[in-house]
Amino acid sequence: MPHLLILAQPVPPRSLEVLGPLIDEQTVSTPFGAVGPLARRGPVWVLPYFGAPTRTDPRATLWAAKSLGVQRIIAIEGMVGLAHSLTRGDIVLPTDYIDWTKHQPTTFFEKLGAGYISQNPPFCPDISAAIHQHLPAARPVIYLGGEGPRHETAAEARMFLQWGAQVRGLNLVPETYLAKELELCFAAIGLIAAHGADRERARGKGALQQAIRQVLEALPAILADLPQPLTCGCNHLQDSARERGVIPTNWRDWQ
Amino acid sequence: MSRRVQVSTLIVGGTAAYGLDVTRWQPQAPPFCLDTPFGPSPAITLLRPWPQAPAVAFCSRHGQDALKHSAAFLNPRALVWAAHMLGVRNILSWNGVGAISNQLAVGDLLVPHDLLDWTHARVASFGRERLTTATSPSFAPAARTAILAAIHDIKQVSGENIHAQGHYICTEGPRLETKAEIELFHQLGADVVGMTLVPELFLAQELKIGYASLCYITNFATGRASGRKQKRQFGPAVAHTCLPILLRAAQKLPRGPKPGTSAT
Repeated sequence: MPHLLILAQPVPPRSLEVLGPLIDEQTVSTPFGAVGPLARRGPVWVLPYFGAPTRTDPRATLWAAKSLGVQRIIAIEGMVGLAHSLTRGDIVLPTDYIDWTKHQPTTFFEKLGAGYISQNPPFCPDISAAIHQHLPAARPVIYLGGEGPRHETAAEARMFLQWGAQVRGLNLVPETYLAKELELCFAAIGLIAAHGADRERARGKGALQQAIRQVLEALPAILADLPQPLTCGCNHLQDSARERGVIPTNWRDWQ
Repeated sequence: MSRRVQVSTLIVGGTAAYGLDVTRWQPQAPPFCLDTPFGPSPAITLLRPWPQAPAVAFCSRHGQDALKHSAAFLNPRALVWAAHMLGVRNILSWNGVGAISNQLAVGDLLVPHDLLDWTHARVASFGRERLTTATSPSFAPAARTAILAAIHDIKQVSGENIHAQGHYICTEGPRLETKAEIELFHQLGADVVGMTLVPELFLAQELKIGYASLCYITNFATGRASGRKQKRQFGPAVAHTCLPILLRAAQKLPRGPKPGTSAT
C-alpha cells in the first residue's frame, strides 16, 4: 500500500520521475469535492500544483490522502521570504506556523465536540528530521499561513516579520492541522521564490531551478530514511477522543 | 415552562458544565429551551442555590451530558437572545483558558477586564436591524466586582491564586494554538487564551445585558509551562469551583426585570 503523498507545488510534474516511473493515476472523490488526478510513482502518490489561486478545499486533499491509505504527506511549496536574510533559491524547513487564514475550514468536526488538538509539535517530527538530515542547508523558519490568493502588502510583510514569521505561504495552513485531525503526518519543504512586498524584487530564475533540483535529488534519501514503524505519534492523535467515545471509530464518520 | 419565576442572572457554564449534576442546587423545573429568532436556545435550568435565594438561570454552553459542540459551532445568538427573553440583567460565564502570562498557573482564577478578538469566522452581531447602538466592548464593572467578591467569600481558605484582572484573547479553534502564535499573543498583551467569549460578550452588550467572566486556568498555553509540570485540569473540578462562585456572585447583583424591557 502506498503510504506517502507529495504535494508538489513549484515542481514540474515530469521532474518527479526521480521517484520512479508513473504506474497509476487516480482522481479521488471526497465529501469535499474531487481531487486529482494524483500520480503514483513507486510507493508515492504525487499531487502536482495544489493550492492557490483556485484553492482546492484543503479538507478534500487530506480526505483523498486518507482514502488512498496515505500516512505521510510532504508538501513542497514556493514561499515568500519575509526575513531579509532569505532570498530566491533558499531552502527552508517550517518548524512552526501562525495562522492568518480567514475563510478556510478550521476542522472536520463541525458536528462533533472534537478537534481540540495540540499543535506541539506543529509539523511531523519524523519527516522534519529526515528533511533536516538530507537537506542540511534548509533553514528552520516560522511560517505565516495567509488567506491569498493575493500577496501581502509591504505593511503586512513588516507586520508578519514583527510577529516572528520568516516566510509566508498559502498551502500549509490549514492543511497541517487538518492533517492532524485525520492522524496524518504532515511536514514541508519551502523554496523561497519571492521576497516580501517591503523588499526589492527577487532576481535570478536560475537560483530557484537549482534549489528545486537540490530538493528532488534529496527526496529519495528523505523517503528512504523515514522510520518504519512511525516514531512521531501523529497516527495516535485521536486515541484519547476515540477512547472517550467523542468521535466514531471509523474516520469516514468524522465529518 | 413557567415564566412566573423572575430571574435576573444567567450563568453560562463552560468547561465541565456538560457533566455537572445540578440537583444539589435545587432545580425549580426540568430544563427548557426557548425559541428565539435564531433557533432554539441551549437548555436552561432554573436553580435556587439555597432556600429563600432568588432563582438563577443556568445553562451549559457546549451542550448537556457531553461536550457536543466546540466553540465555533455553537449558537451564541440563540443563547444571548434567550437571556434577553428571560429579562436577565447580567450574564455570568465561566471559561476554561490556557495561561500565557508567567504569573498564572493551572487552577488559578482570573476575572478578565479586557479582550482581544482573534476569531474570524463567527457571526458576532444581532445585525443592524436589531442594533440600537454600536458598543465599545467591555466587561460589566458591577458583574466583575460581584464575581471577585464571591471568590473572596468562598476561596479565602483555599490555595488558588486569584487574579483580579487580565487580557483574554479569543481564538477560532477548535485546534489549540502553536508556540509561535502564543508568543505573538504574549507580545500583543494577552494573559490567557480561550475560544468562547467571542461573540457572547458583544451580543450581550448589544442587548444591554451586563457580562462578566470567571476564567479558570485549565492548562499552560503551548510553550508557556516554562519548566513547570504540564498539569491540566479539564475535569469536574472546574465546574465545581466555578458554579458556586457565580451563584454567589448572582446574589450580589441587582434583582428585578432589566430596566426598559418586558419579561415576555
